[in-house]
Amino acid sequence: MIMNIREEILNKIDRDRNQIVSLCSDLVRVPSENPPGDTRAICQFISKFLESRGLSYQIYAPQKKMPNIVAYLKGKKSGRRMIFNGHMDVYPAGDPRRWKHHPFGGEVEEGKIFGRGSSDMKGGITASIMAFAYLSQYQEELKGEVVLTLVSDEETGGEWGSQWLVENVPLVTGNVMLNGEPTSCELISFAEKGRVWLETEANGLGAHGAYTHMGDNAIQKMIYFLKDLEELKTLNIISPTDVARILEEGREVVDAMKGKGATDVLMGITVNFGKISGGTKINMVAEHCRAEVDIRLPQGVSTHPILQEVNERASRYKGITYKILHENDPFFTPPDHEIFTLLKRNAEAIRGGPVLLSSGIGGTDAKHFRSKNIPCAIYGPRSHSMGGPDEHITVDDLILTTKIHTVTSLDYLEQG
Amino acid sequence: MLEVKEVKRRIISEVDKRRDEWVALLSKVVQFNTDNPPSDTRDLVSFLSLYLKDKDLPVLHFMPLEPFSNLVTYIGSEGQTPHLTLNGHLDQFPADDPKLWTYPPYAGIVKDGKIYGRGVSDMKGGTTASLIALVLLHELKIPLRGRLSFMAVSEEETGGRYGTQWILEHHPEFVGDACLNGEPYAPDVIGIGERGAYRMILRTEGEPMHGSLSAGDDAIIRMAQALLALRPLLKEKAEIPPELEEVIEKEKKYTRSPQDVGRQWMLEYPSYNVGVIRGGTKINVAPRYCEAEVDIRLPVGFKKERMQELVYRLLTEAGCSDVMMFPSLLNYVEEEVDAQNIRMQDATWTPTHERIVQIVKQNATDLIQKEPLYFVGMGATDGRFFRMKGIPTVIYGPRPVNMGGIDEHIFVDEFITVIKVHACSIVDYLGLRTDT
Repeated sequence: MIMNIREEILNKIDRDRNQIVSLCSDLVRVPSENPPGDTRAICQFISKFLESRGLSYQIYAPQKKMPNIVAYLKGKKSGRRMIFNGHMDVYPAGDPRRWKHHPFGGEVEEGKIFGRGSSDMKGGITASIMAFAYLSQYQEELKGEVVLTLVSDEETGGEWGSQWLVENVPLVTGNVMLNGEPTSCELISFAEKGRVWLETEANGLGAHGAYTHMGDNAIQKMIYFLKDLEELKTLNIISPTDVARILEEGREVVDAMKGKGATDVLMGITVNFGKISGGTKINMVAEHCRAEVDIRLPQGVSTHPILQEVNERASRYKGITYKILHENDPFFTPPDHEIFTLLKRNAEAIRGGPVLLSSGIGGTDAKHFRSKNIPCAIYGPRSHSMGGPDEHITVDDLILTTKIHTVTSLDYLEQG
Repeated sequence: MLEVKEVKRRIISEVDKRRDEWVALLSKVVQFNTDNPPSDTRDLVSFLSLYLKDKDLPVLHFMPLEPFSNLVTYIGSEGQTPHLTLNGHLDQFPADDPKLWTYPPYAGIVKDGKIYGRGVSDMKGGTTASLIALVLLHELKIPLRGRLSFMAVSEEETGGRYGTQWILEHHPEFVGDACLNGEPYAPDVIGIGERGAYRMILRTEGEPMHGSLSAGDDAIIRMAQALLALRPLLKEKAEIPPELEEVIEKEKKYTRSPQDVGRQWMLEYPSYNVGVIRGGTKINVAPRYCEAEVDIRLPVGFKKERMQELVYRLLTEAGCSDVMMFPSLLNYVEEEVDAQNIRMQDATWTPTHERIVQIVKQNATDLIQKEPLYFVGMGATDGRFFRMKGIPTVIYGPRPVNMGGIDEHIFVDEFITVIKVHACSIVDYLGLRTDT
């Protein structure tokens, strides 16, 4: 029975190809830049779409301008609960003059859908919405439940989006969470690096630049401190063995895709300095200096020892202070989880070619679901120029992601 | 026949008699806000012009660019020799927050034998002293043989392109064969030279990739490496010219003000300051570039070419050969580079045997009753423009207290001494006409 449903759905997706592309394009066309994070327009658009398909939903808006949609589908038979999660807000578009295709044009050209957020992650939520819509056509035969969650506030941490839903809406917990963040269709993400974001400040004593002995240069102090922080890269790491093994196995593919050394980056502690500013004039001893530091932690390294090291290093200097802007531990879903087997099998069958498990780049809302011990799997289209001008995804990847999300959910629920 | 000794006695007496008048004048000069930026010296120049015109002295204004107004006056006519130029700047360091001052920065308060105000030490005291010396010689109708030019300029604090430098280039008729400037060293100090400057903007560039993908060699950390790589330059000793060896040795032992303590090594080794750093826009995006503005000071005997080679070598050895340096990067036009920022210049000095040096030294000795010291100054003055042209230049001014800081002031007694030394030195240098 299920085999027929699978075939049917896959055929429908092929048949509805243009409609699916249109939906993605329409979603891109509704700006939802964060900052400032106002998603009311796109929320309204998606609400209307769900209504047009006869699908019921509820809005949760702990922050008025950042509403979240939760749609619920209950199958005839009881069983597992699958959560679809994706965010509606997008990275700011930047200067439109640098784009060839307008950032909110949603233009479809040569098999690509252009626009800010197309890869991160309006392509992904199109797949989730369509998967939910198709599954809802088989409610009679469906076993278990599907909860579609479309959230705001992901680009700024998720406090009013996924985090709030997970903590306040009982429906938003389940057996597994599936998310369409971009993983390039060749990879399934089962892990995410941890993160410590710091804002540091150095204070010194001003003086005329020809009399450096009378001052205490804040820039000089900051430089020493930043070099000390860089040493964090060399701290000892003990990776969970199966994670290390999987990442090693994926080295060739990942490095080919993201550049040589990308696997080492995934497996190590990285320290990046995103911003620095200090001093007023070339011939004056600088009195203040500020810098922002982005530390990423691999599996096996929690924020606690890192923060201890940061504290110790800051205390070596008079006048260095810092603020923790953000911190979260790394996390992963055991790679032998059923969801990964299913995703891999389906992706390889439908896409052709091997599909591997890997660690994700950057942070996603999976962290909020992991904090409730919900297994998470991320699988989505390949991103092109994500965060940059002329960001896009291919139509093929969009359709592929839609198919794989839909049949994998069906398989997972059926096996419950 | 008028004797120099008699003339000097008259001058000194007149200075003492009209002491209050000179202090009042300086107080008034301080009341003009000539903070740089913006270095608007127009009102002060207007005031001084009226003052001079009232005494039947000629006045010229030069303003090559608004609002950098410069003033020139003179005694004597073109062609008269010798020719001495008095040079002083009217602009000053900005005052910071006036609420932090006990004596308001533009009030010109005189109290307890001190004159308070922003710019009074650097360098309204010295400039006014020079002006008073000229006015006095004019009023007393001293028959000077040579010509005396006085220029009060704008824009010294930001490089002098539209001040002293401009006048030297466009009005050589006011450029004498010697120069006297009242920058604030001290009454027991004869400034005969100053350190040079090697200034540069360093720049590193990178790919603006997502912070989570970056392997950690972003433009900011590479700049940090480059700046740390420069530290060894502090250990490179200058080759002090033999004629200045004794001067440097004696200067190392002079520690009369807080500025002098701990600076001895700067007489023989370079010092450097990272004044500004900037780079990056977002915490989680690798910066597209990072820039640092570095100000290296060169002691006498340390040529700028040597510093250039040294900087290149230190950066290369530390693996930082991708760091770009202005102005050596010829094709870089993305941002306008402030001319001041790319100043590269050797230290300048005037040999102590020069006539003007010996004259000022003698007069200072007579007036303070003690032997002054020769000094190579730490900071830059407009005197360097004269020295670069081979014109012997002496710095003689009052001691600065809290220069550039809160409650900046000078001592009235020292101000008066400076007037006397300037006036007497002018008489000695220019000599008296023998037809009297």
